Amino acid sequence: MSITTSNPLPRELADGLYWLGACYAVPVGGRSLHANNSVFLVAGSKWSALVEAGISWDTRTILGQIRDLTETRGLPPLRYVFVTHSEQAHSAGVGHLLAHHAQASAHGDVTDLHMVFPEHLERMRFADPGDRFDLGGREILVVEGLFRDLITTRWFWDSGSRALFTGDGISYGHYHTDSACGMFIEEAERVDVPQQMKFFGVSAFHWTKFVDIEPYADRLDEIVFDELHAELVLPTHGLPVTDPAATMPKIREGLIAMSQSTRVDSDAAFDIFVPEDE
Amino acid sequence: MHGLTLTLVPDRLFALVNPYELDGRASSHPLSVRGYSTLNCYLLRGRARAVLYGTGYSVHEDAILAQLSELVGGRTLALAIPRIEFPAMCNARAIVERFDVDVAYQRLPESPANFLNLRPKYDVDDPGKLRDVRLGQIKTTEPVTIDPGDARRLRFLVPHLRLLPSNWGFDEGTGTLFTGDMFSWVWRDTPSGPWLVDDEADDPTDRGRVEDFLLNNRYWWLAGAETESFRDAVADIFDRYSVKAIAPDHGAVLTGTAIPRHRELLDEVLEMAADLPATGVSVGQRSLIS
Repeated sequence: MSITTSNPLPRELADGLYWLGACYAVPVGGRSLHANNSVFLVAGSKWSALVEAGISWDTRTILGQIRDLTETRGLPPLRYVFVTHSEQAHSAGVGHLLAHHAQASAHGDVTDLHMVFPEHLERMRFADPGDRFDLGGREILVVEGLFRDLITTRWFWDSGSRALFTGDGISYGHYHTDSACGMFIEEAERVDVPQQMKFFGVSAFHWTKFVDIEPYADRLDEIVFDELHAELVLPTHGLPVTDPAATMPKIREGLIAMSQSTRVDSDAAFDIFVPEDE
Repeated sequence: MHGLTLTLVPDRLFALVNPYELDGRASSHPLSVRGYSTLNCYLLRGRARAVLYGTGYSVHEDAILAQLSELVGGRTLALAIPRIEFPAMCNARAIVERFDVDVAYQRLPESPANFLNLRPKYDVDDPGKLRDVRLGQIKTTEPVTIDPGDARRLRFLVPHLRLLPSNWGFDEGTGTLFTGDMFSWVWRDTPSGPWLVDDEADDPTDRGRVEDFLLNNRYWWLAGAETESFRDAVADIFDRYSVKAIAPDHGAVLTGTAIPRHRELLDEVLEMAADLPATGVSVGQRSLIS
């Protein structure tokens, strides 16, 4: 596993909304499969915020990208770090981010983080659906965590860009040969979203094989289309969705495929994204 | 709160038990539970080498280093990081800086220097002695030998009953089954425990507690799910391995008649859960703030 050497990130997704991090590559069956542990930077007129804090091996990259964007774009100071849940891939960067940004505090699902980063004990707070955080001219709204690892998971919403941050929801990688690094999913024509979601599900979302996934898919459509009228859907482990009307049907197909994938209880279950036939 | 070292098998296996308060902030238990649990690390000690199974939460760093200082002696350590969550990894760097560690067995195939250097007390640009620690890929087909040439091996399993990508372990030398977040449901009113349960006496666990532990937390998805395969898979593990102790990441170590009793409690809850209405969509709307 390695961080790819040519990194097209950060990328500005909308006014004041930046996609940070890097692809990492996993050799799978003779091919190079890429995935992201994305972090998003949202800049208001008074404050900036991060959604997700990143996996440990990306922390140096994330800190550098924030520093560079702040300097070159004149962004306001980082005030909030929003954490979808306390798994390493989503919150390992909290410790260094709070250490480097004295005005920042972490919010969302911060379970366990008081025992992981005790030096920041007073700067981490739970947040519930409906809680709002003002950045100046835009706000971050806490949203129910629909598709999750941990029961305490939170999703987030940026009012300024109408972006929904879905954490583990809607996870998929792409092959190196798809030439999709740093792209929106709508720009990456070669990526087979349902198949990639199925691969990811085998590794990371074992539980989906034992439940009725349809209610989750229905509720996702309600949140995206009926309640929030989202213009962007931004998963942590997938490429940004910039045309929900066109792409969400593929996402639904992927959720169904994930739930119908074969049970794998061997090392292959953790060869992230390994197709079942390899 | 003080840590405790339990000798599970003299000279060979020790539990480093460090309590924490269940106050609505721990992902190990339902947020509504009050009392105390523990984060357990296990030292599999051989003659010249030892394996530390899990490295614990940062908040227990001083206690764990002190516990290891009493036990490790001049042995070379291997670290086993069987989960991709924090309980397994927070003190890896601190342990590597203090002791002679040559390999870290991980689920994710990333170098320990990149994966385990997450604490802000250390320079993010300098992984220190983690740089010298070799990656050992956890594989079910490649058990870890504690001492070279010794028959005692630590075998890794992929449990069918799991939430996140994680492994269980089995110490063939002592018959100890390491079960991660499963069987982690013994909690107490005080941090002093006891943290070893070998029969029904002084065991507060009943079916209601196991049900609460699983369905109101990490195994929320079992309600209304197909659970027969999990019942079969758990039974299969205990058929295949002669389990003399269940060693979870949290709470009491189970031995003696506690083993069949807790297996039965799990089986009953799994059977019952299949007939419950699914709650998977609505649980995401619950409050985190008590």
